[in-house]
Amino acid sequence: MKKILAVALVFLAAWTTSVFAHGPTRQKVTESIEIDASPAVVWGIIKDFDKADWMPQVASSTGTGGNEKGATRELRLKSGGVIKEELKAYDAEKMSYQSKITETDPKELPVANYSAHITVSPAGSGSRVEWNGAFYRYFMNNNPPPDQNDEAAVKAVTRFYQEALANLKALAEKK
Amino acid sequence: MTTSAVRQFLAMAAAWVVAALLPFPVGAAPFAYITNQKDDSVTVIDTASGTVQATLRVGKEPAGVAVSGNGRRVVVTNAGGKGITVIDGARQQVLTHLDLGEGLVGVAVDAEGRLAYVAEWYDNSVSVIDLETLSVLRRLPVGHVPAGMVLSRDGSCLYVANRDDDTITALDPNTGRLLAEVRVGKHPFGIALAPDETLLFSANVESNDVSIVDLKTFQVLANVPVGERPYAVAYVAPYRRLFVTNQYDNTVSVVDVDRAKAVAEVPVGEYPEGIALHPDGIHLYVANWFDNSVSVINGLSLKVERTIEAGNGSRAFGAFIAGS
Repeated sequence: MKKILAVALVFLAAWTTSVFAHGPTRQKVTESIEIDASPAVVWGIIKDFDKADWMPQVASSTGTGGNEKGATRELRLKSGGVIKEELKAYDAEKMSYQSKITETDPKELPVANYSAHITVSPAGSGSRVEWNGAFYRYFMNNNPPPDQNDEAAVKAVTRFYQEALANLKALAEKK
Repeated sequence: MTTSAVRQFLAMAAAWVVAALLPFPVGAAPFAYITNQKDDSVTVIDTASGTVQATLRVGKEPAGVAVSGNGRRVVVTNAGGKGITVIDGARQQVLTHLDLGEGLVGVAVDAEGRLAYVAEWYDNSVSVIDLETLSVLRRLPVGHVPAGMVLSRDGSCLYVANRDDDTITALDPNTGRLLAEVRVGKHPFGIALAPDETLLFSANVESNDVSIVDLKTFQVLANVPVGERPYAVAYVAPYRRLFVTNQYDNTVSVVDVDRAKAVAEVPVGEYPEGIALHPDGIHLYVANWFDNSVSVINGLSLKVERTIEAGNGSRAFGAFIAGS
């Protein structure tokens, strides 16, 4: 019986401890923040798709198509890069929109096939903003360089969302 | 070995024996097996009550899943790991794990649960696995980046979506002989077969359409535009309607196959992926990857009747409901 147990343990160990290098799988990030300002005030800051300068990473932004599905925006980053996005869905009543990145800056956001949702909702006497992103890492083949692997993509998106939401909170609570 | 360890082992062994002697399998079939990519787990849904029957630990980042027609065996591909996990569909227990290639997604299982067909994402091949002996019987050469697969009812023909070739191939799974090939839309992913095996359907992720393939001539009858990034398809034969998950639109498109036209859109959860028809022929189950939930659509009323909570990153790519 000792032998059986030992063999079983070896198999179990081999299964659970093997950490494989692997191909890209889709990642998700959800960040949210509570803001001491009304949903209308918060929505007022982010509602225009082409005005993305509420994100502290963005130096300037321009767009075409307003808030209609298919509208585009170009974010010129303070770090020098450019991110291009397209509006996928827009719902003013639900204070929510969805976009996708059509061209990324891999230094800022090392992602591929990125889509995201941002929604403002009432929470207590203030509001809550939730931002969801779904994406793959930038390097779509096996054995990515460390700055283009799954972890790097998740880290970059998480940080981007956290910084932008913190800034949104500061802007809204100042109003 | 200490006495307490022996006692523990005996207790465990006794539990196994009791489980093996139980007259009936647990719960009521059919079950839906939802792979949860971010939880390394499978949620087992009792479709009679709409409740979660069990949550099973599987390999890393499970994506694909296939249940044998008799419900006896369930095979899960572990996209973030290396290989498959085999589940006993009667007792909802993990039986074993088998190492294969990396990044596995597509999988199909025969009606009796004897053979599994696993698409080797990076190897342009399909591994044929004997589920009793857990051995690789053969490797069938296919196109580039094989994704969704479906097997004919009698097991004599395997259809494979070759994502990066924009083709679907039909092959004899016993010999690997290529039977036919057809070019469809861009990046075909999920595919489905009509029960009478006259039509085949593919969701084409990059061309935002579905291809309807006539299997007599092996030609595309129509490419029908649907929502953005269609991922998987399910076919309801009596109404000749196709249900297609649109990842970026959070909807399921309903396609009238005879008119080759999308006739409705059903809003579901965020990032819908796997879709399967319940054996009742009416309800469609949709895994919402971002929402960690399953939407149950009534295929007649086109209303979402129920939303069931699953694990993180519910994906369920494949034939994830079976058994009667």
